[in-house]
Amino acid sequence: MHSVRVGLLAAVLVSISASVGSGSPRAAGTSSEARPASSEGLAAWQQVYSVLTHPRCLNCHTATNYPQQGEDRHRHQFNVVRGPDGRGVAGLTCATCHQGATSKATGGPNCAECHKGANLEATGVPGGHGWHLAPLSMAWQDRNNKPLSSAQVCRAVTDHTRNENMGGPELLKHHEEAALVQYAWQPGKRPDGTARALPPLTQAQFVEATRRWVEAGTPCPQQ
Amino acid sequence: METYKLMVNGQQKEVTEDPSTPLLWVLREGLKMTGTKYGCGIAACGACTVHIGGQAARSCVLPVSLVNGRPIVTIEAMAEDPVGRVVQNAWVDEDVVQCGYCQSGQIMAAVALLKSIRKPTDKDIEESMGANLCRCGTYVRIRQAIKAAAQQLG
Amino acid sequence: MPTASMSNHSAVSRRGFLKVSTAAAGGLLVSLHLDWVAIAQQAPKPQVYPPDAFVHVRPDGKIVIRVNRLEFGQGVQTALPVLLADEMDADWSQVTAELAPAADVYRDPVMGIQMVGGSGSIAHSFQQYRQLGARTRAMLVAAAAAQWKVDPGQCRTQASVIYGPNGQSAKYADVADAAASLPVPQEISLKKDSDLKLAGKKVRRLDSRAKCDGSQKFGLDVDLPGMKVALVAHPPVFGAKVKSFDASGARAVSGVHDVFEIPLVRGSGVAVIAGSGQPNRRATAAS
Repeated sequence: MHSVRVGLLAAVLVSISASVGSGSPRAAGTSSEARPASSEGLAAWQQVYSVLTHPRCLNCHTATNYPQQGEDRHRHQFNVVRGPDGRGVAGLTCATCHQGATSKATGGPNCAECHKGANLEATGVPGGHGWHLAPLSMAWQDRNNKPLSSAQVCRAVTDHTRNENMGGPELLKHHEEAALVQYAWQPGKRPDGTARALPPLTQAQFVEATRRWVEAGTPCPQQ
Repeated sequence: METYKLMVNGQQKEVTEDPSTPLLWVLREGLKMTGTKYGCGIAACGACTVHIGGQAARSCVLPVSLVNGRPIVTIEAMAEDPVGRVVQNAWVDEDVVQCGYCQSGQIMAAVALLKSIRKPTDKDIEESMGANLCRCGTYVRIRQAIKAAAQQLG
Repeated sequence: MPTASMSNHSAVSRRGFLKVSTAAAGGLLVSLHLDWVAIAQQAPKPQVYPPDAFVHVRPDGKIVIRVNRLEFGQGVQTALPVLLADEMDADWSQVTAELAPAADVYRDPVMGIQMVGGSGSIAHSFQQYRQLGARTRAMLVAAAAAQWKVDPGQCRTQASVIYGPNGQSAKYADVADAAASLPVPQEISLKKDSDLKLAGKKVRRLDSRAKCDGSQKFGLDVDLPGMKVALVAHPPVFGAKVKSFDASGARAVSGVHDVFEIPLVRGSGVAVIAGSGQPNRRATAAS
């Protein structure tokens, strides 16, 4: 029931934001110039930010040539590295260990909708479809592995030159549907059998906060 | 229990397994192909490395239900593979092995490396091979053999 | 490594000395003290080992040498055959090695049991394998010399071929059967070290290829008809004992034969027996 209501709300909000968005010209760069930053929009952003800087997300949104692991975000064991396109190196791609469902066809719609599954949970190795690092343009920590500020992350996430040209609706879709984003809420168990920590919001809350933020024009805090 | 059609070393095989059975055990016990080894069961050592869809993959954590028709290649096929054969010969020429338990995985990783980077540098070798563990410590000869194989492959 | 002259060393009792000491917690700690150095410095008892238990010259020319040790990377599966093949003047390119089955003749000459360890393989079998090689060569030469009606001392050998004084030659493979029926010579002399061609030189390992193509069998690869597999769930802390366990989940997995508590060196665990590994793994996870 809840999901039906959310879906309906989503349909309404998306259509509102789409009609609003198409009306106002967007400059390349931050979207905060499109409308005055509302306190609701900024509050929604803070909620989004709280998820983005959780280890489940931060561990792959690094500024270094390696991913991180664990709640303490230590450098990923075995010296695994980013590689030329964030998927590891020949002989040791991310997918060498972190496997997920694929379908016979390459590409296509969200394969993970039907082909669910990841590594055997008893092994403690998390998996998911298309495991890879976020590009360096989407690093949310500095090179000393310190999370960036709310303003810095907001600017990064809304910068079309850095975010693969995603506008509000695309960001919302990314937060809702991307396989590796979904992973954050089903991270499986550690090798010792304990459950990995989840982000501070449920995925539904996260998507809802993203929607409110997009609807408010993706405002960013000033600093 | 489900029945899966697997393409292993170019041959169609049919197995009936629990969907969560890792590919490693399907190969070793279901198909009696013991060349791929069990070292840790948590993708930490690389002894279980096979190629799936042309990429190195650790079979100990991959449920057979996720293979989904992608071709599987194991150490048993390396003698017939143009890169695999050269790598094996380099391994023999350089006297790489000691106990040998890790070497199936090492060779599978090395072949994946050489198929992608024909002239790997020391850094390439370290990054690609560094997560294949060898308790006997044959790493220096592994590196030499990879370079010799690269030389041979031209 | 033994340093004193081995032949002059007086016999040392191999009986262990029990050392009894009190552990800090007040318990009793009993440890067995073996004088390894003294044991290692003992000369192997002189014995004539039968070549036919150690060397097989096949009709196709391949020479299979049996190694009375386990190979686990230390190289003994190559090193001992090197010694034998060198004395035997075998064509090294035709030599393969296999690990000996369990039998008295394969006991370590010093320790008196069939074993590998204590850095004893070369130390204890050095003379043994050289003598085996020398005896095998002598028998092959004697067989050829008998056929040619010449003195064995007039023959020389090289790379699995015997050469007679008048241009005759015979491959080892061709006289192996005749040689096998000859008596094993008791007295035998070894080559001078300077005449050795393989020992002390770089020789490629004999076990490489099998370890590179997946054909080398390790313990986990053994598969015997009707074989059962046991997995043991260990306690998370050393020495802990099983308080209770519910086997119903494990027993429900098809293929599982039995589930029971099993004593460990300290404490206890739970053993799951199954016809193959996979039901075992699921059952162990379940229990």
